[in-house]
Amino acid sequence: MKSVAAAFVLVVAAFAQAPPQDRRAARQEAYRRWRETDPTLERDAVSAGATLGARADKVAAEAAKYFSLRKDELENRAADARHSASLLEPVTVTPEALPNLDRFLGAQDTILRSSIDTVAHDPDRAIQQLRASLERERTAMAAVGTALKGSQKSQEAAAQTSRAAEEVRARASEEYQKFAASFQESEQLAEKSGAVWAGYYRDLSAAARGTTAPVTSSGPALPSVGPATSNAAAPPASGARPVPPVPLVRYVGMWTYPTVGAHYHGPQPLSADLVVREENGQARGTLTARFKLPAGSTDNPVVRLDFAGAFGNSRAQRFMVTTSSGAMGTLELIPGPAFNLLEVNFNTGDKPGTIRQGNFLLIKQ
Amino acid sequence: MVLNLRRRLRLGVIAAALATGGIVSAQAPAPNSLPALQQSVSQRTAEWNTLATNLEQRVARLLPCDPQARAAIDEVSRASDARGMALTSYWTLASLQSKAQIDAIRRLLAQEEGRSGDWAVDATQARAEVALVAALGASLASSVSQVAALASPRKDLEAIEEEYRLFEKQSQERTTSGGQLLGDLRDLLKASQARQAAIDERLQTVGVEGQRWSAYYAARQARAQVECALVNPGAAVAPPGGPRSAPLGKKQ
Repeated sequence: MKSVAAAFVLVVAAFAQAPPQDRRAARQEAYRRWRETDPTLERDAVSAGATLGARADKVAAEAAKYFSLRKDELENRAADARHSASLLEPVTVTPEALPNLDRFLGAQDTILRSSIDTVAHDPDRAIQQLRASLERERTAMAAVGTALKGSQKSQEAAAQTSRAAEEVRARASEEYQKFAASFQESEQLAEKSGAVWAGYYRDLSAAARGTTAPVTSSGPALPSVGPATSNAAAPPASGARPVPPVPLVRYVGMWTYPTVGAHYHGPQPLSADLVVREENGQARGTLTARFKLPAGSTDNPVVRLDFAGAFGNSRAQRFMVTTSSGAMGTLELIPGPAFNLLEVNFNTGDKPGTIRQGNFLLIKQ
Repeated sequence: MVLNLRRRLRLGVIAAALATGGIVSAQAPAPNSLPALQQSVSQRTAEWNTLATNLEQRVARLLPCDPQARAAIDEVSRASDARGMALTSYWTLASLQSKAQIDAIRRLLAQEEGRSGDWAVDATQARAEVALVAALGASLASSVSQVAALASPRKDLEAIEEEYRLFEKQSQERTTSGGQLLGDLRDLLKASQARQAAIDERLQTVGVEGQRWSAYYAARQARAQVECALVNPGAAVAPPGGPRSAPLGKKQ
């Protein structure tokens, strides 16, 4: 158990060091809430009995919130990585097919030089003007040659740097695609883990419930309760009545489902009222409850059942019940973690269209 | 001065064409894409190259004052301008795209630098989670002897631990990849800046080359006028759009 505590401290510390960032912060906060909701749940699995169900439900609800946020965060990060990759679109600079003008320029230069030489010594003013224009043309042609060399050089540099940039761009883009795939895999894994955790809490609760010893009355067998008559219970055959290990006041009285801080496992009650009376070691009572139905369900949300029977010598008291629709079943009353709390756990068989089981904590009125 | 004015006009026409075509928008239509502009460059270059290399042959067959000689030089000059415009359009778009990519890389780099610590934190958390689940599993294992039914939740924890180990592995891989990505983005920024400088340089040389060809054709036109004036002083007139040719004729 020390190692669990140490691991718990470690994991909470690890989640506390993250910087506050939107989804990430929300997910980390959800993780802390999950882990801090009931740190002794596993330790109490051996001893808590049926009360563990409500506790496990509460922790399971926090776990579900955490996994929903974790999935959302991972999905978002996968989308973000894909978006980042899309921002790195290639800029494809194609090398130009520059015309080879060297021969042309060379030939032109030869012609111009030859023409200039021909008229160089002619004193005629018009011829001198021609010579001047030929020289200007030759100078312009030489400037073109220089510009072409610059063009060639810059064109090669643009093509070469573009190739180099494209190589790195493709690498970075591929990294982002890998991130997207990795986050997607993690998202699927988170979904799977969330489902396994939910199953874990169900199994933990069921295992803990199984630790509660069934009521083994030393009196007569549990009465077969007839049609909802509160007086159907038979009195004990002998004078030595079994005594519950906790005072009867922990069972007897009027109990109701709290509107704040409610705990339940399985179908969610909207309201529940329980009346338990005791007379000569015999219990009888009525439970009336209304449950929240899943969307689209046409089941009857109201459960009314009557029960009766002898109190046993165990903490959890089990009675036979008959519902208003005539179904038979069992009901357990288990004193809660506080004196004014009572856990109810009923099962009324397989009659379709009705709520067949329920598990919740009631508070004394 | 005249060439500068012409260059400005040319750049203005290109800018208008780019804006009309929506090149600067993110959803550029295919006709104004780099490949389309590249095709236009190839076509204009081929047209000009043919005219330029045949100019002297064409002019040599004409009399000095034949208006066709002046028209032939003008035609090559216009083809050269068209090629210059096509090249400027191409490299302007390449420059815009390159700049947009540099901005995107800067943003991504800032984003990834901000996240660089997260990868390690994720891995640490994943490790801590594995340790916690292992500890819970061990704790339940010791209770199974007392409550056999706890074997089932213990099995669940084993499955969870296995999944968490996988997640831990993924987190570690992302830590490594995160460092690699940061390095790649830094390299990419440098490489893209080098490309941008080369594109800007290319854009400048395209402008210079265009100016030089214009100056050459103006000089060639001026020589044609002088040659005409030599044989027929009364026929030499300034060509249309006077500033294109230097006023060298005997008679203006």
